[in-house]
This record gives sequence, structure tokens and C-alpha cells, in this order.
Amino acid sequence: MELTIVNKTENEISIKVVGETHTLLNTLKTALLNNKHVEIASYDIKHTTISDPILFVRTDGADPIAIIKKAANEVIKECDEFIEIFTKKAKD
Amino acid sequence: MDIDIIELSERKARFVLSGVSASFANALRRSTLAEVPVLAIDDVNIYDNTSVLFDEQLALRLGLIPLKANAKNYNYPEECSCGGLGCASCQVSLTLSAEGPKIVHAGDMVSTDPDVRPADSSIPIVELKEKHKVVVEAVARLGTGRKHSKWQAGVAGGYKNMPILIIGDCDTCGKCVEVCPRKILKLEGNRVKVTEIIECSLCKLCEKTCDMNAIKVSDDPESFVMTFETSGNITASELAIEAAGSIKKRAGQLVEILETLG
Repeated sequence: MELTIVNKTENEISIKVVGETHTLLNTLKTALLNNKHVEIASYDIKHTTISDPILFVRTDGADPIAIIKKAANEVIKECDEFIEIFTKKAKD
Repeated sequence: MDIDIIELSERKARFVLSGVSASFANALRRSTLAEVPVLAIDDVNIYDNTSVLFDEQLALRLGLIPLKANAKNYNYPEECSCGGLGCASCQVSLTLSAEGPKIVHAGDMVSTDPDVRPADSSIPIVELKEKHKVVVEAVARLGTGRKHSKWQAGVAGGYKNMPILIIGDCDTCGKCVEVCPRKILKLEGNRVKVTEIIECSLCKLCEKTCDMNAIKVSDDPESFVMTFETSGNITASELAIEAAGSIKKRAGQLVEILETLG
């Protein structure tokens, strides 16, 4: 994975997430939208097979990078929870 | 989050995943199809092929055979310490030599690693007639379904929202029982009962047929009935765990890079 910042202001950011797909970006978007400091969170994949997604986030003034980091950590937590519960239930 | 396992066999898993967003359920499905690494034949050296199949066709058929292996023992060729040249920790070779008349099956392949073998030994590769001969060496490497479908770990994965069926006051005419394509409604005394709610396909035929508007079909937006099937390379429970692990790994990489950006 590689990140390129396309555009950044005080409360907005667009980053190109090289080598990623809907799998990560859509989950991340949902996590971002759950944050009350986020006004807009969306991503665009210009061409299905050849383009990398560009993630756009606008906040109410909070640092957008910190907000994305927090959302990614929430995704990690959700995956951990799934692995833990599934492993436990699969054993029974 | 809660998981209620309905069915868990070696190659199939079916469970109710509740308390998650649709995007997480979809990410899990996408991940099983495209992100879980498995071994598949990637390179074929053909020493002799006098069968009816062209070399290319034979190679394609070999590539599509699911290989059962512990993928954790292998590295991706591009990430291996050998630099992609090919070593024991990033590739495994399988040899196949057969002479007709016989049907060559996947089980006839001999692997250099005893842990790597075709998931089904009965898959036919080619039918050899009198004097036909096939001698090949196939090299299997690690990959993901994103690159080619031969590396797909999950072959059939999907989900639907958990159906909710509410039956109000009705005159027990029994029309809904007849019309239901999944046969999940049953007439019991003077009530219509739902037997297997999970089997409901949300077609709403019962709702349309009911003259009294007594049936209400809806779905739970936070609860999903998920089904995964593997081609045999890994077990279904491993697949679900690996798929979630892959999403976690990617999110972790994102956090790591964001740390450096400040």
C-alpha cells in the first residue's frame, strides 16, 4: 500500500490509496461517517480496473489525518472482534 | 457483534453475523473471494505431451486444480528473500507423468512437499489413448484471487439481510403457504407459522398474495446471513478468519503510513 496526498487543507484531505479496492475503502468510509466530526467521507474509483481509489474527507475542523487513523483503528478492532468471536464459536 | 453458526463443515460455512454494518459484511465477502492467499499451479514445464490437448490447455487445466496446503508456510514470490527467483519457501513443484490408455487424474501428480496435494484427487485432467504420453513438471506459487481466479480461496460467497416476517391477524386461507417458493410457512391450527426464517429469500410473494395484508416482510439492516464455500484449499473456518485478517492487515498498513504523514 502507498499513500499520495492529492490535496490537503485545514479540514479537508484527498488521498490516493494505491493498490486498494472497495474492500478496505468502503469499510473505512462507513467508519468515518460514524464519527461526528466528519462532514463528508467518500471515495472515487475512476476506472474499475486501472484506477486507484481517491479518499476524500471533510471534517468540522478536526485534523483529517487523525480522523482517518481513528477510523482505520476502528476497522482493525471490528476485524479482531470478528476473528475472536468466530474462533470461539467455531470450536463449539 | 455476534455470530451464530448455522453450518460449519470443511468446505462450507453458514452463519448469522449481527451487529455489523453492510460494508463490513461486504468487505468480508470480497476478501474471501480476492484477498486470501492460496497455492495454485502457475508455471508448467512440458517435457512430453502427445495427448489430444494442446500444451496451453493442459497448463490451464493444471492451474485450475485447487491445491490443499498450509499457505502460511509459503511466501509470495515477489516478497520472498530469493527475490522471486524461486526457492523452497516460495514455490513447490509437482510432477506428472502418465502413459495411455488411462484417464489422468489430479491425484496422479507427485508433489515435492508432502503437505501440498490436490484438494480432490478425482479431478480428471486429460484422457489418454493408446501410445499417448504426458510428462510435465508444474510449479505452484502463492497468490490471491485478485490476480487470477485460480488463486480464489472462496469460490462461492454471499450474504443477505436477516429476513423478518411478521404475521398479523389472518383468516388462515393458506394462500401464502402455497405460494412460498421456499416452503417456510406452515398452517398450524388457526395460525400461519414460519418454520425456517433463514431460508426466506425476501421475495415478498406471501405479502402480495395476502388479501388481508396480514403479512409484513422486511429485513434487519444490521444482521446478515453469510455463506462461504471454499474450493478445498483451506477449510471454511480458516477462510473466514483469514479474510478478516486480511482486512485487518490492510487497515494496519494504512495506520502505519498515516503515522509517518503526521
